[in-house]
Amino acid sequence: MRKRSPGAAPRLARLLLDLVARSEEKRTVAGDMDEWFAEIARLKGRRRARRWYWGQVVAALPEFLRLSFYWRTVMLKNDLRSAGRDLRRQKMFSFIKIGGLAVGLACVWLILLYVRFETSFDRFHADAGRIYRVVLEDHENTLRKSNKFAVTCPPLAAALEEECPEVEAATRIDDRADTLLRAGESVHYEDGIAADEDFFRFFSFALVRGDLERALAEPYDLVLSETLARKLFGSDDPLGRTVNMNGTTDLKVTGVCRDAVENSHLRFDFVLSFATLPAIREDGGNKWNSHSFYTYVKLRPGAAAAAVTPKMKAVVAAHAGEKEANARVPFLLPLTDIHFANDFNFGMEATNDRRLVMLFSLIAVFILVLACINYMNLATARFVQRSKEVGIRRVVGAERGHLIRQFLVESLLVSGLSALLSLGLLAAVLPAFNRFVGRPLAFRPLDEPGLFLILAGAVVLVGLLAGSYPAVFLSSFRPGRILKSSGGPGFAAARVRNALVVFQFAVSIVLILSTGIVARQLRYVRTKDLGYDREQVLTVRVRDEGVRKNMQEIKTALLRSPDVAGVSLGATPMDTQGGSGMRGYGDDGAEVKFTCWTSYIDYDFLKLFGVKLLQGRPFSSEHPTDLGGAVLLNEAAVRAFGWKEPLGREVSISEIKNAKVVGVVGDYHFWSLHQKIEPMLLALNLDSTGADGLLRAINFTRYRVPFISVKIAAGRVPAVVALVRKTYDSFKTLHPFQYEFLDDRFDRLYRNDRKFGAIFALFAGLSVFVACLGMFGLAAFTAEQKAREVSIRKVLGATAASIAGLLSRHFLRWVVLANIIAWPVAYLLMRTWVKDFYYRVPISAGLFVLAGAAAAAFALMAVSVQTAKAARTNPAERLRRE
Amino acid sequence: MEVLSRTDEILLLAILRLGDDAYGVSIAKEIGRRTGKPMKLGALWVLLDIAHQKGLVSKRTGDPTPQRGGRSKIFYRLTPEGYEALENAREFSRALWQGLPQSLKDLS
Repeated sequence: MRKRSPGAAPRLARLLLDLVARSEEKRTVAGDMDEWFAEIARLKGRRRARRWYWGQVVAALPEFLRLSFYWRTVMLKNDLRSAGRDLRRQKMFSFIKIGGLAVGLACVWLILLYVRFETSFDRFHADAGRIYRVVLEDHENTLRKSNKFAVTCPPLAAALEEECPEVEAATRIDDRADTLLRAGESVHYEDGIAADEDFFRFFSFALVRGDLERALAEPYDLVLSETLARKLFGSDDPLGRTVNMNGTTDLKVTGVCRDAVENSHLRFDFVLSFATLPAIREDGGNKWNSHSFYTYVKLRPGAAAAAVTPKMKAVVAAHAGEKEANARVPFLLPLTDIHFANDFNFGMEATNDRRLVMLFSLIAVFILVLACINYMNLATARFVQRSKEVGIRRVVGAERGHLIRQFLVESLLVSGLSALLSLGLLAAVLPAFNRFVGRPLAFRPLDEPGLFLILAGAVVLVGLLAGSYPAVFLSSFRPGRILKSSGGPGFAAARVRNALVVFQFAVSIVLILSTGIVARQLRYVRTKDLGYDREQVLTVRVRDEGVRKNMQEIKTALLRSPDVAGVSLGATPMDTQGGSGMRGYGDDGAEVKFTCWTSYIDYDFLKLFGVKLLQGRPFSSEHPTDLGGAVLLNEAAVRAFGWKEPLGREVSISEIKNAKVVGVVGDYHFWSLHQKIEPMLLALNLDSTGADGLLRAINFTRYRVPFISVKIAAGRVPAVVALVRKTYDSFKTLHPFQYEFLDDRFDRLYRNDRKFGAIFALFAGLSVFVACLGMFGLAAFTAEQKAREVSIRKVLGATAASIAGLLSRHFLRWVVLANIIAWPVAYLLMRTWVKDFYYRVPISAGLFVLAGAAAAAFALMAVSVQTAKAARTNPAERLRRE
Repeated sequence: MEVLSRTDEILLLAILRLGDDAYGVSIAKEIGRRTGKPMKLGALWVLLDIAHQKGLVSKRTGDPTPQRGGRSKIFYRLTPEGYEALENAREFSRALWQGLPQSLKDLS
């Protein structure tokens, strides 16, 4: 304080005044105030003077603010008018700028909605942050490249709740998908779950009817979703009514819950009380070594998941022994991560790949950047035309700040118009996109102030980003230089412009290449010989008791039709019936053990599906011992044993002891091409042979639901479907007829991959479109700038072709450079995707060249319109103007 | 024609009295002295600006002085329109008061 000269006014007040006062006011009013202040300070003391000064400033602020705002709007109106004029004058370039930005923004909105939805999974639960799923890391088993399992044993939940102080509550869920529910005449297959009685208190699924405390307390209690309740009972009150499950068990409706929202990993149409399970599944007991339930825990507020993990292991060790606890180590998976936890075995939910979501976000941002680049490029390239305007403006007294503001207003206008257009685009494509990704995305920014702010912020940001370079660049020129020369100063900008073009094309090439690689892999999947024949085969899952008992009759009846080329009862080549421990002895006499997949088939399986028999003989009714005493192995199983001569060897699995190997079949893909072909064993399906003796001895679990597979003669599909339906219906007792074609099931295995490919293709197309727009615009300016040179060359006898070459060469060079940058990026990116397939086509160099050539072709196409025009112009006309 | 507002009248009279020395501080002080009500500089500036836009006063920029933080004074003078407006205001007042007794107490 002391250091300040006695005449100095309060700094803060002065600063305020300077902020709101325009320059003239500053000079006079502030000066007046200072002068008077000094006088008061001298006469009445600093303190009084300071108070006086503050009073003066505060009184002046409102009026000054109003004035400055008024002038700002006047200026803004003026800037907007001149920006609008420029947009109207240059219709094509305005279209490129606005259209390109709109496409980029629409991409961003789309992805923003998608990402927001994907990351919103399970966050609607009140205690989402404290809920975890208990999962296992199995040190003894690996399935499909992962040793993580989503399922745990039945007694774990209760033990954790009692013995871990951090665990506030624990609850269990059992998957009850594809269950047949019947109420009166209404019969439906539904997906549901069985859950502990505290389910509706543990999670935030709303129970709209029934008692929250008691709804799932007793055996045979059933809670229906609102939709299912309507389906089964119409408008009647469902409470207290009876629903029959799978034709065996009667359940009592004790509640109705709201339909599960789409962004929940748990999706169900009904919830069955956990207490019902002992009555309907054999392994519903309390064993510590049987893992098939989902266990969720809710930790106490403030408890750390890391602290709980060792305690869970200790609980398992205390009950099931040290060995079990070391073999299958429990750990916690946060509820909100389940949607992205795609490397767990036996998860009941459809998961998504977090990397994929991130990749799509990245691509959307890139497309937006491409569009911004277009804007910057066009704006700076148009410098030649605008320079006169800028020059005149500066000469008549525009300050640099004015010019910068003018260009920013212009780019904000463009981004604002683009935003409007992009919302239209979004509304147009959103329904199709939703159908495609299977998500209920909706765009209602007005209902969500947060989203609206993000949107508005993005538009302003894009406007400022896109406008900043041209604004700074254009305003930096001295008026004298601008007005004198006719296009020289574009040079400095050229380097930046070229770099931007290279970047644009690099991004486009990466996307084209990725699309190509995905497409090639998918074609490989479609055309690869799978080791079996999937065409013209109709499959019916048999769950109905009546149909099951009469499969032989059905087969005989179907075979009577000339349209039926064959019938097989049992597994299809796409259904193995679970893995089990295979034992046998290697050539050196040592015992060999490994996991082997088992398929129960009938005598006609090999012929109907065209599976190759490499050695030995097929199953035959002439050998009665084949039933339960003989097996076929695939090549992978023979390799696993290391046998030179497999025929006649003896193998055992849990259900079949000391069976003879009578033949070896070629490896066929019983899973998708993502997975390696594992060892497999084929045995006769006892159901299908009609033999009764051993049928009861083998314990059929739910994996062992047999199929009726019907090979259809060419062109007779509808007739055969009708025939199978009629035959099925004549035997069925409960389950309605359902069928699928084998090739459809095969296609479904790659549905996600196809979606991935299509999304890539979409984005690649968009980015190429945007990049070409930019290229097109730039070519127009090059042609304009070089118009004089072209005219003179033509006068001197250059051909149209050589002129076109002159103008395009420049662009091709940048496309080549873009290729060099893009290739390694695309290679690294796609290598990780292709790695998901165990069977894959190598990424070939030819594809890279092709993508590069495609990009070059697109660039040439965009440029050629302009060069052609330039090459055709009559030189005299142009030169006359000079 | 438009009659000057009271505020403008006060402002123009102050400028008239100050002659060649009419700038922000002096005008504000003069008004304060005459009316007993001090005028804030910010409000004064707005009034001056409007009067200038109406063509009642003209501006002249003086030299910047150190006492004023290096900012120059702006001096104001009445334009012929300003003189005329003041004349009219006086006529107007006179017409309004004409024929009324010196002290209004006699009437009440």
